[in-house]
Amino acid sequence: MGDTHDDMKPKRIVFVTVGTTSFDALVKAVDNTEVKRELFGRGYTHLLIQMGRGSYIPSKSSGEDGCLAVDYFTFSSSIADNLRSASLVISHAGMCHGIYKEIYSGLKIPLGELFQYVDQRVEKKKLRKKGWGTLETEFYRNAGSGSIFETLQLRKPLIVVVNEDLMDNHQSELAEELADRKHLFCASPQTLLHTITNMSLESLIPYHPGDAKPVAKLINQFLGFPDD
Amino acid sequence: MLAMEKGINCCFSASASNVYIYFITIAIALVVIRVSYVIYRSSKPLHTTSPQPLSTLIVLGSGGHTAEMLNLLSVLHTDSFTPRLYIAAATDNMSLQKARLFESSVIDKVFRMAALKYKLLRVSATLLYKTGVLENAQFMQIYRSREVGQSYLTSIGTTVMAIAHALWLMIKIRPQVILCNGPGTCLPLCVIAFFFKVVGIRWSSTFYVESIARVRRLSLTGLLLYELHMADKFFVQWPQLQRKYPRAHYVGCLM
Repeated sequence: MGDTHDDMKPKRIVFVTVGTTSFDALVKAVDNTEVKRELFGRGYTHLLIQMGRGSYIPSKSSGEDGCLAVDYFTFSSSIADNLRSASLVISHAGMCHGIYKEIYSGLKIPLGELFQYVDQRVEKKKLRKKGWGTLETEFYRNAGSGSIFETLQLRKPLIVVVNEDLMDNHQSELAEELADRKHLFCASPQTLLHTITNMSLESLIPYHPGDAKPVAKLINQFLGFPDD
Repeated sequence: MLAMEKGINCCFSASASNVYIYFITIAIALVVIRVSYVIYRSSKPLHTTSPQPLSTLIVLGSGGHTAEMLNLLSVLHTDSFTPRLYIAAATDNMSLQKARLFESSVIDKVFRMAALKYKLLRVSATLLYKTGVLENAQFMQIYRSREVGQSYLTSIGTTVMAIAHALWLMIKIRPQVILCNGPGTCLPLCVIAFFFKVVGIRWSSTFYVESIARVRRLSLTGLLLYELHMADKFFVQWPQLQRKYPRAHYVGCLM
């Protein structure tokens, strides 16, 4: 009975990430009762907090009594999975997740196995079934472009919270620019509640990942290499 | 007689100091002319009739720099940029690891095509892989002039160390192309490369791509390279920056 009940009410997870640093102000801001009530009111069922090196411990909750289920962890080797399963991401403005274990898992194993595959003359189709065909894309996704772009490329609604305590905060420039272009919402720990209350996810424009081809073209032209 | 001798002496010493001044002026003028020629020549494309592969120095750095750089490398023809020398700060373990992964993906691509074409045996395939890695890519670490939070007094010593180390590495590798996108470690390397151009040790082309995180202002490294004309081509990823720094090329987002 319990299982069917779970199926009827799908999980909608809010994933909060602070990367490798400590960002207690953000963790405190999402641990606020009003923020949690607002998120629950918008149909989210779970709140998962990656708190990094922070010292503020949010209060756990199982979410049975008609409120948000809250859980937290410090670091994880599979933050990409957390991002993929989330319905809303609230992130710090830094460029790097710093959770690097998954970078290894992208390529290390297939590279060694590759020789065996070719040795056995395995067909292409079988290789693809083994995940070999998608190897390169796997690598780039896992290599990570930093949390903002990773989340945007997964097409997840994103609220970037700028850490105002940092002195040289050029990261907020990027967040504000992307917010102006309506790819994400930008907030500070103080304005997070306001942002969540007023955000409309329909107004967001999907981010189309850029590419390095224009740069490559100019470099090739400059050096006299043929361009294709 | 004495007076005459004195006059001659005087005249001689005066003309000697004149000669010194003359030589110093000429030397300074020559240096200025040479530096302006190098700057002028750097802004013009290379005119090569039969382009040879160029040895390429790639500067990596944590905090998104490496990811952006590998994104760029993945669309460049790696055959043309060979051998590739990756350099990262000594305290940054992850960047070179990522570059190694990238290199093995390049080798894989070559190897996969060769293996499919010639149906190579495992032994020869492994050999190909190993020689490929050894010949085409090298990975190096460089001392950083200043760690985050280091005191300014001790950073004088470490800066001298870092510059000496950078000079030593550059003398060893003498790259023809330098690709960098903002980590502080690329500044001494670019300055040394420029010095090599002026002196005539090695002509190189420096490409600088400002990080996507810089929307309104250049990073300190970027600003210095721009103002000192040390980057042959300077790329920015946001139009606001291009308006502010007209010599830069706007290329859109790399991510």
